[in-house]
Amino acid sequence: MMATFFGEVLPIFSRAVVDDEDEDVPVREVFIVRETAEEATYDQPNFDCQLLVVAVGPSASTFVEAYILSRPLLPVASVQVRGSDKDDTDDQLSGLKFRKQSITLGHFYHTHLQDKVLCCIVPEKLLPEQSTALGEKIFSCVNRTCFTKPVVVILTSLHMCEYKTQKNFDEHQNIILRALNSSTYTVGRLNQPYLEQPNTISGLAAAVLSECEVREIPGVLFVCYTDMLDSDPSHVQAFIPLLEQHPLKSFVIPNEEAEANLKNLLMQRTRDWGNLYM
Amino acid sequence: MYFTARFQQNLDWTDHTLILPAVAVGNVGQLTVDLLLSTLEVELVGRLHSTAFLPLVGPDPFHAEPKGIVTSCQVYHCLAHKLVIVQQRAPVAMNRRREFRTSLIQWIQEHHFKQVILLSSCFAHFRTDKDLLQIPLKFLCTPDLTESVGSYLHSSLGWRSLERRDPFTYNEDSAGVLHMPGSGITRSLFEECSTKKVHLVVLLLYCSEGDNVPDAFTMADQLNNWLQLISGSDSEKNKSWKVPVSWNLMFGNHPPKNIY
Repeated sequence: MMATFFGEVLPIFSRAVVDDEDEDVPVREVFIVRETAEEATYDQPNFDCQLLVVAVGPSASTFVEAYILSRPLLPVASVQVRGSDKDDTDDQLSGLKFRKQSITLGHFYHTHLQDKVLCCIVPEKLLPEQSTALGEKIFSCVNRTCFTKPVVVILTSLHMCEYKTQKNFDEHQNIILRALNSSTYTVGRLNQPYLEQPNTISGLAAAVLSECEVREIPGVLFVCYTDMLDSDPSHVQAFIPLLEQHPLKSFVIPNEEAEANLKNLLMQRTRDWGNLYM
Repeated sequence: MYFTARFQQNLDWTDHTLILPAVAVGNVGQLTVDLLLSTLEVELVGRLHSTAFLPLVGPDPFHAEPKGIVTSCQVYHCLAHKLVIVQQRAPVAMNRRREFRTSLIQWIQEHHFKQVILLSSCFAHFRTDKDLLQIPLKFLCTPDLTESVGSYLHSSLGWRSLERRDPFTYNEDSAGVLHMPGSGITRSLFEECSTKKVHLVVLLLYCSEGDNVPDAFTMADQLNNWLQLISGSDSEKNKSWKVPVSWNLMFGNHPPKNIY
């Protein structure tokens, strides 16, 4: 965070450090674990799919869970962050044993169209360094022997304050949906406006689209700018128009229980589990 | 890190100069490269892709209408001036700095560039009194270039090379260290290039965080004095550099009208 000349605090990345950036700083590794009926196995998963949907953040993840996946949800793999590998003694770890545990950040699911649609849902926050590594690992999970180029759809939400526009904000709605596609994406015409200059996207969504660009895989990123980041019915439903257009229209069968799923998911996520008086 | 070429094309860059920015204080190197790319006739020839770069995507930074996407690090070619220009738009991941240095130098060596120019910056408050009287720019040459390029930059352009300083007293000391705080990977890259005999020239501009557009113009002008990229008298040069559309709204949106 930085204060500007006029005093307002903006989330601008600051280079204001005196130390030289010579040495590596360790970051906990992110990895993908195959989930079998019995237990999780650490070998590299290998999935077949023609459409890969990557949902980043709570709203996009809730949309995929409610409108694209069918219940019961059985993950085929999970995204985990490895626990600290420091050789701390039990005394040093007293009360801090969670540091040694792996944290689950997201899951992979197949839809009812087995082997055709693979969904990767990552509602939790990642470090930027972990996003880059995960973007690469997602593509190494996709089996490219059965077909050459899957279509990749990336869904994410950002706060409205990150949207830059020459227009006055009064002219806009409180939800803005924009698209950005890789050079090889030719699957249907995009109904959403293209992301305007000078907006940029970072994090896992950017990592996946970058991989699409350099691997020449058709990929499209849909970003929804909303006035709050927590899941809200209107923010989740902002992605619904995407179901009516390619490539989701070709693969996703309308889920009749979507509205009920959404209601249940939002009730689970918005309930304050930490309050003793609920 | 690997290079993905956009088209199958001849990539013989043996007589070319490579210009690349260091992610440093004020992002001056990157802003300067943006000025070069928007002003000169360049072609996007490929991308450098690595998990060492933090991820970033956006619309094409040099065209207002949709025309492809930009990623963390792109490579451009300027045939007229025999330049290869790298634009790095995202910092290096803090757990992969060593890997980035090694693979970048390997990529440079594979393409046998004539020379490499690194555009970097460091904190203005570390200038000495003597530095305040002159242009806020210093340079560094790897040993192979000190005699040829280094003496030309000093005698013809009036640039001063960065002195080694005692790390505790900051007094000039030939046995000291290169003191360039806030310059990111500049020092480590310079030292590794020196040992691996890569022809590297570092341009180091003293600046502070804030609106660094004037600093970018200063560095672009100084670089132009050396490489003669755009013509025109001194007073016309600022008008000659084209500002890219991606510089719009650099400090956020306009204030909403209904608050007044």
